[in-house]
Parts: sequence; structure tokens; C-alpha cells
Amino acid sequence: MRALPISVLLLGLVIGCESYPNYPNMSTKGKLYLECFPCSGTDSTILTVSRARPVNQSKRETSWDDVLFELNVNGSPINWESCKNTSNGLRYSASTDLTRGDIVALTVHDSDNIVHVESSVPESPAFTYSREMTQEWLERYHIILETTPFAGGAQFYGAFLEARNHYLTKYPDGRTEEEYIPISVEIEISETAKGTSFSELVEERFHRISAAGKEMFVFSLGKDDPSPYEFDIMTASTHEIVEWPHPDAPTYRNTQFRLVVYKLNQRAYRFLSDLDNPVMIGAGLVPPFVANGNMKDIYGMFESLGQSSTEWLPALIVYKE
Amino acid sequence: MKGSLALCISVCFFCQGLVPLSAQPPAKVDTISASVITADNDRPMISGLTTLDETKIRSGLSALGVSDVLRTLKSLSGVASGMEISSGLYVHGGDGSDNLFLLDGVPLFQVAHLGGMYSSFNTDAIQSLDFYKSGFPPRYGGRLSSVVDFCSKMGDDQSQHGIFSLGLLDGHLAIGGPIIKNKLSYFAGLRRSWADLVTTPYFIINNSRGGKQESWSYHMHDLNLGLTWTPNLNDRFSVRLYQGRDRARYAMSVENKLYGKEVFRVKDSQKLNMAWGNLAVSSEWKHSFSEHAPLQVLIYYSRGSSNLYNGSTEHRIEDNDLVKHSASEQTSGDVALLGASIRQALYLNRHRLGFGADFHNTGYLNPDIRYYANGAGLYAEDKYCLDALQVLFGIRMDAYRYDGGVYFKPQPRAMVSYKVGNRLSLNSSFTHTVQFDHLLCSVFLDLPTNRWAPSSKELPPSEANQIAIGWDYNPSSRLGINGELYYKSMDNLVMYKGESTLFPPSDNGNNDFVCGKGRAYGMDLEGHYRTPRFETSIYYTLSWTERYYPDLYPYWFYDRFDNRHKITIKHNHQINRRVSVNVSWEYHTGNRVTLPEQVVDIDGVGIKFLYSSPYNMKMPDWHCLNLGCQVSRKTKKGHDAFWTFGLYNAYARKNPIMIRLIDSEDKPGEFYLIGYSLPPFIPSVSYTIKF
Repeated sequence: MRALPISVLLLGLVIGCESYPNYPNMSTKGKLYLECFPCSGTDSTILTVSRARPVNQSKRETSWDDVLFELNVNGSPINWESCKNTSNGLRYSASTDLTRGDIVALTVHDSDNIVHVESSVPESPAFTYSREMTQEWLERYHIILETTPFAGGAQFYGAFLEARNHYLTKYPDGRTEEEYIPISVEIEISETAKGTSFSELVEERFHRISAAGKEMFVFSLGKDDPSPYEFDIMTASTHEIVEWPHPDAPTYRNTQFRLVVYKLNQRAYRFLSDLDNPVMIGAGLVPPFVANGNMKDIYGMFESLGQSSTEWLPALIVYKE
Repeated sequence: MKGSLALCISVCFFCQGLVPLSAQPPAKVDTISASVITADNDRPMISGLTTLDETKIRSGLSALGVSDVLRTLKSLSGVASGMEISSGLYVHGGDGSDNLFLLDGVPLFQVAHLGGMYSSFNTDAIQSLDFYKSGFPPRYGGRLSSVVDFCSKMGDDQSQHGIFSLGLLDGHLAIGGPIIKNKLSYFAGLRRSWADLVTTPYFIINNSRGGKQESWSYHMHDLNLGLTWTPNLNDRFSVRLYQGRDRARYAMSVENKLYGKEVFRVKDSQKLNMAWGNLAVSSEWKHSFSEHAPLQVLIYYSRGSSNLYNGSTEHRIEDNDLVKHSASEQTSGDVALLGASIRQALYLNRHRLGFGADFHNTGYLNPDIRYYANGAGLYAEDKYCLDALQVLFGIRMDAYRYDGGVYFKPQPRAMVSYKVGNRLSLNSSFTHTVQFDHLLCSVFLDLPTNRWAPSSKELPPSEANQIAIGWDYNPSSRLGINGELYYKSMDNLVMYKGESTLFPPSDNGNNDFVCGKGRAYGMDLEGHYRTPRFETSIYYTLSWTERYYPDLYPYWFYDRFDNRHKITIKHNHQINRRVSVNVSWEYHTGNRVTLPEQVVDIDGVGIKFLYSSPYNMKMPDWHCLNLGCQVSRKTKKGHDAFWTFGLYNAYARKNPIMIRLIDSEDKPGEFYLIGYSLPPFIPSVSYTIKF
């Protein structure tokens, strides 16, 4: 109770210090927001499109009739093959087979703007790996990433473990049925040699992102980091009988993984890692490096990535009779 | 002696601060029991020069009730106000780290207390200052935007004097006097905050109840010491020491019971210690070969230092066993400067020649990386006076050797002044300035985690060119109007673009620092009306400040302190012999901040804020009214004593110092702005006694 008068006084002071300024010069129209990351080492490119809105407006229905996207690789047009509506926009996919040095271009038409942006496909990262079961259900991937010498500049990478379940049913008559279903698994990623200093503890190196159909952990390496750089990915795998469609025919489920490593440029890393601190930036306390993307008049990012990946790796412990 | 003695120091630019000893006290005025010395400054000749004497410094603006010299400079035209909680100087589009602070010729690195809330300069210890914002004489080098040349007090060589003041936040004591009359005198000034004297007993009482033990304390102090020996009319030796220090401590410990294979009694703790400050030691010899050839030799050592320790100890039960987890970080960043300078002036008929040299070795001492750099500067200047026309031209040549090479940077300076009749003078200046030290900071506050680093291949020296055209019009002895137009371009400005962290890299080859350009232009205007009873001053600035960082944004953008208009009106009125009041009203166009304009919902991610450009929003215009009153009286012992009362922000204007975007509870997905400001009505009171 003795603290009550002080609390009331402090509350009064805080309330007395608050005000509600108007948002000046606010546009009333929402701009397009898109994400597209064409990659080498894969056969498709995903484009996701959303409609942003002014911050002082609530969400409303959007029309996409006036929006058109053109994709070109080395000057040749590539058709978008499929388009589907998602809860927040559109998702396109196109067949692309890209290699280092290809020039990928995107042109966006909407009722107000025509935006053209180009990107050159960078080199693919080089890495080696080993893997082991650390516990019955836990798999550890140890990755050694070959980095080029750091000449004062940082380098930017991404890594992910794609997962799918392999279902195999063997019937007594010799027939087999196989099915692969992509799944999402919990992943932990860490440096192999972990530091203990306070700054390392508060500075997360790995940032998990999800953009344009891709999931990955992005990270940056500087000249203070070892070269090659080693890190670990931990995940849980399953290997069990899940079903008995026939009394003599069990269905085995084994989780398979594919290790994917990306090389990014700084702009893409900055955009994907989402390091902006809106509170600090809004307070004017930090430099306003905000990751808006690389397109004028609309928001978002169109940037090519270098990609290397393993094949689908069979489970380390394959469940079988 | 009644009346006043006017000592006119208007011989030339470079001899400000280098006046022949034979023209100075004590020997020639030792028969004067009391005198008031006023000095004409070089205002009509140097564009952008402001000279403040002790009276003006004392009657200047205050920060949190404490008279603050940098607050006073911020009120001048051409200086952006910056953040309300910061005393940083942003002169003609500068970024705050590009001001040369000289205390008796010694450069200082840490010039702020309490995260920048008020400055390190004790007004009791400052005799006068020269503030240059455009026409830099060639003797100054090493910074881009301004020079603040402080002259600290020397002890009276005739009698003992002192001043003691106690305010809400701090206390001051300054004493000075002769040790050997006419030969040897001393001066000592101490300022110390006393918030910790309140918080320490509070926490002791609070912690006596047991349970969680917590303590917090903060204090700062400034110490100025000076010893002056005048063996004869032609020589004077001075030794000076300045030390300023901030120290903040937080400690917490709590006893816990943990249950594992047995019951463990443990104590978890957390500690945070921060300390930062500046030490400057100098020795000066002034010698007059003749009245026309004064010489000054200065040897100095200046060290800006900062230390931060953050540690915690925590106990946990793992597999039924007690495990102790400790994490700590200790970081420090010092910059140590050892230097010497020599200046010689020669007065030959219409020419006023000045030349000199300075040398310094700078160590940038960070725990993980250390740099050393050597610098040398030579300058020569000539002022030619021909009736109404005065021309000063000169050049400064800086050589800077760092670990990876050497930079040679010539810096031409030129100033012209022309008197049109007795009431109007026109002046113009061109200056090229170079800055070799870069302040590496990730947060725009004066924090102990900020680091100074030398230029390198990746971070070349910052450079600026500035041209100014000014006028000084005095239609009567009471009224004066002066102003200038300026244009400044800046190159190789450094900005941090890494993650939001309090710990910026101290590596000057780090890729997280990028270089950009800047430009600033505008008009400064000042008007003064003085009578024996009152003085009214008006300062107005019309300015544009822009930046270009290609890594940040592909076009020029307005900088955060691009305040289009800034007005300060001050009025000091002597009501009667005992009471004087002062009123000041300050206004400036709102600072710029970066706020999201649009928001998008992304599948699997959530909402993302989107920005159109850096510093895309202007905060509400800032203005406030400050009132002050000084009541003087005589003590029983005949000493002068003053009660000083102040009220900051008298009409309780809510000037936001930061703005946040808040999600609307009524309409999910909509956002609105909320601004946070300092508490309205900040009163202050202090008691001062002179003896």
C-alpha cells in the first residue's frame, strides 16, 4: 500500500507524457508486395504476391484483375504454369532451369506502375557433410561450408533440411506401394564451436525465414569466422510401422531428408533476415536501414540465389522387418 | 575603478587566444582593484563565429535545471536541436561526431554525461568559448562541422575567490586564487551529481527487509584543476587537468531453493557496471618575443575511455544435480591522444602572419583490436588589412599515417571581410575540412559502447567543403542583425548498417559500416537588442540537410535533423538590483523518423511493416517555453548569493521524443501512432554563493 501513491504518481507522469500524433502524408492506396527467389539447382520458381495496405487501414478484399507478371530468363519469356489464391494473395509457379550467370527478369504491371527488375544467378555454394544418429530419433547433420576468403566483406548463406515421409507397403503377393509426402519437421541449427560471450548469446546468428515457397535459416559470416565454416543441424526422424492395411502387409514410414544450402547476396540476406527493429528505428535511435526490397514503386524482393543440395537421403535407420 | 576597461582583441583571427602576454594582465593592471573587461569579438570578420563569455554561458539554457553550455550552443542559429534528451551538436548538417571540442587546446572525446542529456563542461570552470560553424581558421583541423574552443578559468593572482552552488541534480564548487601573489595561482572546479546519495540509502533500507537484493546508482563528476606561473612579463606557464567521469551500477541478487537430489540453497545474481569519461592533461608555455611575436607551445594527453561489464550467475537443476551457469561480457573502448602543438604569430604592418604545427599519436584501444595512428598538421595563414577590406587566406596540411598507409590532405581556407560604412560589414568564407577519426556507433546516443576508429582503406577520411556569405548590420548601438547563407557538401560520412545492437563492431574494416555523402544549405539569422536593463535575442535558421547512402537507399533523402525552420527567442530582464528574469521560447520543425507506411499480411509469416524511404515521416513540430528567475542577496558575511528558479516547458507542451506504432485494439489490423515525451513542467531550483 505504501507504494500506491508513488505508483499513481508515476502512472500519472507516464500518461501525461503520451500523445497521439496524426500520421502525416499518408497514402490511401495499398501497393503490391511480392517475393520471388529464382534458384539454380532447382526446376521451378515460385512467386507470391500480396497487396499491402496503409497502416491506418484495416484489411479489405483485393482485386487482382489489373495485375500482370512477366518472367524472362536470358531474354526468353517463361510462362507461369499455375496460379492459386492463398489467404493473403496469389502464388505462381514457373518451370525454370537456371545456372550461374543466367539473367532472370521480372516485369510487373499494375494499374499504376510498370516495374522491371533483373537479377543474375550467383554461384552455388560448396559444402560437404556427414550425419549420424545421436539418439534413437535424433539425427545430426554436420556441414562444412567452403567459404571464399573474406576480403573485408561479409558473406551470406542459407541452409535447410527438407523432409518427406516415405511410406512403403509390401503385400504378401509381392506388390508394393510407395508414397512420398512432404512434411515439416522441427529443426535446430547451431555453430559447431559455440561461443560463450554475452554478445554472442544475444546475437542470434541464424534467422529462420519463410518466403516464396522456401524455408531456410539465413546467416552471415565475417572475416572473424573460421573458413571453412562448420555448423550442425539437428532434427528428429521417424522410422516405424504406422498402418496395417492388410493383416500381413504393414506400412513402414521412414523420414528422408534433403540438405539444401543457399548463397545469398547482402540485399537478399538483409531482406530475408528481417533484422529491422521497428521500435528503435521509429524512435530515431538507430540508422534507418530498412529492408524494403529492391523494386521501386512496389514492395518486395526479386533476387536470384545460388543453391546446392544433396539428393534425398534415405533414413539412417530404415524400419523393416 | 568605476566604469569599464575595454580590451579590444580584434587584431586578427589567429591571435584570438594568442595575444601577446605583454598586453595581458596581471602586470599592467595590478593597480586596478576591480574592473570589467569587455572584448569585441571578430564577429564582423569571421562568418559563423560566436563568442560567449562567462556571463552569457551562465545565463544560457539549461538541461534538467543545470546550466549547460552545449544547450546554449544548440539554441544558436545553424545548429539543429537534435533530440530533446541529447546535448549533441548538429552544426550545418553535421552528424554530431564531427565537432572539435578543445579545452585549452586539448581535444576531448567524451563531452556528454548521462547518455548525452547534458554536457561535460562545468560552467563554473569556463571563462569563455569560441564557436565556429563555417569560417574555420587554418589552425583548427581534424573535424568537419564545427570547432568549440573552450578557455577555462585561471586563478586570480591577487585574491581568493570561489563559488558554490547546489541544485536539484548536482552541486558545484570552484575556488581559485594566488599561491604567490602575481606569480603563481591556482584554480579548482568540481561538479558532482548526487542522485546516488539518495538512491544508495533507499536501496539499503529497501534491501534490509530481505528477499531480493537490488541496488542502482549513477553519478557523474567533472574536475578542473589549473596552475599558472607567471615568472615575468613575457612568460607564462600553465598546467591543467580535466577529468570527467560517469559511473552507473546495477546489482541484483536473490536467494533461491532448488530441489534436486538434495535441497540446494543458491544465490543468483546479475551485475551491470558502466563507466565512461575523459581525462585531459596539458602543459602550456606562452612567450612573447616582443609585442608583435607571441609564441604558444602546448603538450597534452587526452584519453576518452569507456568500460562496460555485464554478468549474471544462475543456478539450475539438471539431472538432479546443481549446475551453475555464468555469462559475462566485459568490453572497453579507449582512445588515447598524445600530442603537441606550437603556434607563432608575427604582426608586420598590414600583415598578420600565423603559422604552426601540431603532432599527435592516437591509440584506439579496444579489447579485441587496437589501432595506432600518427598525425601531423602544418598551417600557415596571412591576414591582410587594407582599410575596409580584410582578407585572410591560409592552408592547413594534414598527414595521417595509419596501419595500412598514409593520407595527405591539404585544406585551403579563405575569408574576406568588407566594411560598408560604419554599420554594415559583409564577409565570406570557404573552408575545406578533413576528419580522420570516425565514431563507430550503432545507436544515436552517447553510450559507452561507442567506439572511435581511425580512417582506413575501407573507411577513408571524411571531407567537407563549405562556402558561406554573411553580413553584420548594426543600425544602432543597441540593435544588431547578422546572418549568413551557407552551402556545405560532405563526403565519406560513416554509418552503421548492421543489426540493431548496443555493441557495434570496433573493426574499421567491417562491412557493417558504409560510407555516404551529405549536403546542407540554408540561412542563419540572428538579431539582438540590448539595453542596460534587458536584452532580447532572436535566432532563426532555415535549413535543408540531406544524405546519400547507396547501400541504404538509391536516392538522396532528408536526414533526421532536417529541421526546415528553427527559432529561438530569448529575453533577459533585470527587474531591479536583486531580481532578474529570463524567458526563452524555442521552436523547430519536427525531426524526421522512419515509420512504416504500409503493412502486408504474408502467408506463414504474419504481418510485415513496409517503408518507402529513410526518414520518411516528420514528427510534430517541437516548441516549448522556459522561464527562469534569479534573486540575489547579500549574505551576513557580505557575499553575493543567488536563488535561481527555473521552469522547463512552462505550458506543458507534449513534444514527443519518440513515436511508436501501436496495433489498434478496437480495429485489429489497423495501427495508430503514440508519442512519448518528457514529463511536462520540469522545475529546477539552485542556490549559489560567491565568495
